[in-house]
Amino acid sequence: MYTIGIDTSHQFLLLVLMDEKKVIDYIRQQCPKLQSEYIILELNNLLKRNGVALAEVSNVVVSIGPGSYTGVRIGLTVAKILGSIVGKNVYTLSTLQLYAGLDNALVLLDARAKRCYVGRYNKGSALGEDKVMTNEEIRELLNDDVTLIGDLQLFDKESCYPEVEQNFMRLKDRWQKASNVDLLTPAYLKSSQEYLRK
Amino acid sequence: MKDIIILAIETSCDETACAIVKNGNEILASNVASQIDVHTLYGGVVPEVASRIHIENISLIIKETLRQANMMVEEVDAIAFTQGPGLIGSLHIGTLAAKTLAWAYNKPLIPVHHLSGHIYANAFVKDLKFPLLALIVSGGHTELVLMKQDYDFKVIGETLDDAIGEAYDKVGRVLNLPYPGGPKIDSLAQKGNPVYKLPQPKVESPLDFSFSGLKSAVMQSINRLERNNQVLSVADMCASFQHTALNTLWQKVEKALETYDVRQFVLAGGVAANSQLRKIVKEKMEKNYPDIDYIIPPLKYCTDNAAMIGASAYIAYKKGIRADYDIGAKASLDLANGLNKGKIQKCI
Ligand SMILES: [Zn+2]
Repeated sequence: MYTIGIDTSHQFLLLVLMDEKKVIDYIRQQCPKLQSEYIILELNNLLKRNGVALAEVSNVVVSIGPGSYTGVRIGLTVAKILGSIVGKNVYTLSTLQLYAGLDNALVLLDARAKRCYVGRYNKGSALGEDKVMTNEEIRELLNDDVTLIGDLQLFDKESCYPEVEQNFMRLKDRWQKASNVDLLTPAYLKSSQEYLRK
Repeated sequence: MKDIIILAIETSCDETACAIVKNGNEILASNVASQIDVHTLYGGVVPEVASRIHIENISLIIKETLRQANMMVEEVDAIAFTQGPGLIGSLHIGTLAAKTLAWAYNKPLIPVHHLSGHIYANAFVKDLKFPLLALIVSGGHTELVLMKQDYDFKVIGETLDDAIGEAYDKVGRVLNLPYPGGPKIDSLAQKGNPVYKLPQPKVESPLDFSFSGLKSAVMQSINRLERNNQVLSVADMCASFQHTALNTLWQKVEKALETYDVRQFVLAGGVAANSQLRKIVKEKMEKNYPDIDYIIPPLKYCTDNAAMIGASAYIAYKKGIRADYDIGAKASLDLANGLNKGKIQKCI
């Protein structure tokens, strides 16, 4: 029995093949704006090269943001179809939680317009809610004694995305099972109402 | 001959749609989840909001369509989807859903051009005859397409600026009518008379269109009335605008019918639901072109739907058009080129 992990919510296309205990193989490509083209092609490659049939895959675990709106929708659309029509179990994870893994970490992912999605996690648990903050506000937090993960280039450090593929497995007991796959929506952190014309 | 059954998905703008079509002309099930109420609230289609609603609806609408047709994906012969043109974020959702289904069930994947779908919607009325002239009128398009045979598209006229549906929406906004302006203007126009003189848009090429000037003409006309302390009759202004816009449209169609030898004329697209346009086509075709067959599609096939994508995909299927898993949605897509794989960059 296998599980597929999907993360397209940042600049990567990350596809992970897991059995009950470990990550068997993964594909991680940096292809901002092209995840939609490659996701099915690479899912097919990932299963084929490991001799796994889709029928042997029972679960899909997908990151649902916050992150790039378009990106998050790519992974989630695939997961929703695999769940709702094909009949796989679907589980979700916060993107920031996925990036944090089990570390005592502050995750910062670029939300553009000089803002970041911010998540504070320790041992897989959230310390507070995922949120959006301005980069200026975030600079004040950087002195904290935590591991910094994410788009650190925005703060004059080297960007850092450690072993996200392994984090799917490490966070197995944090996967949220979708009771109704059809109702799954991305975590945008910005409501549709905010698009109302002034 | 074995029946060909196609599951089709359309998400190019603000309708999430799925249909199951048999042999290109029989609908086994068709569903459209319209976002119109939401976009009325926003005063127009907001692309990000449209994408959000598509992902909320997509799996449910496919599931419901399969249920209504009493079918399983295993039983369909191919999965079709609108590749473009349209809003890229919206197109992504339908494209990905189709690719996932095609992969999971090992079915052929067929990309369809949205306008080709609008033309082939007429196949639900009767068989298409070639050479064929199509007038496609919608919120995003105003095009004259000549087809010498199935799946052979030649755009012989197009709008140089606004699409006609866009012009309706803009004039609707000027007249403070709720979005979308088209149906509202159409119904008000029937209560008014075309008493306001609006200049016919002038275009150098005989088959091209231009509608952006009409909106300005309406505004100028309103300003003039205000300056002269005259009361604006909204119904009369709607009638005047509609009269001018549709006359221009029809003049170009006549020009095309006189230039090219065609056996059939078909109307297509959302603005084909306009009651006055339907009347003009019927009257003029019967009076001036009795030898040319014509089709005015039923209202439900004019606006965006997935059945039309299934109808078009049936022809594509027979022609052997197939897409690979790396096909992407295209916001702009050339009708004449049909299948457009575009340039795929390599990932790092
Ligand atoms: Zn359309």
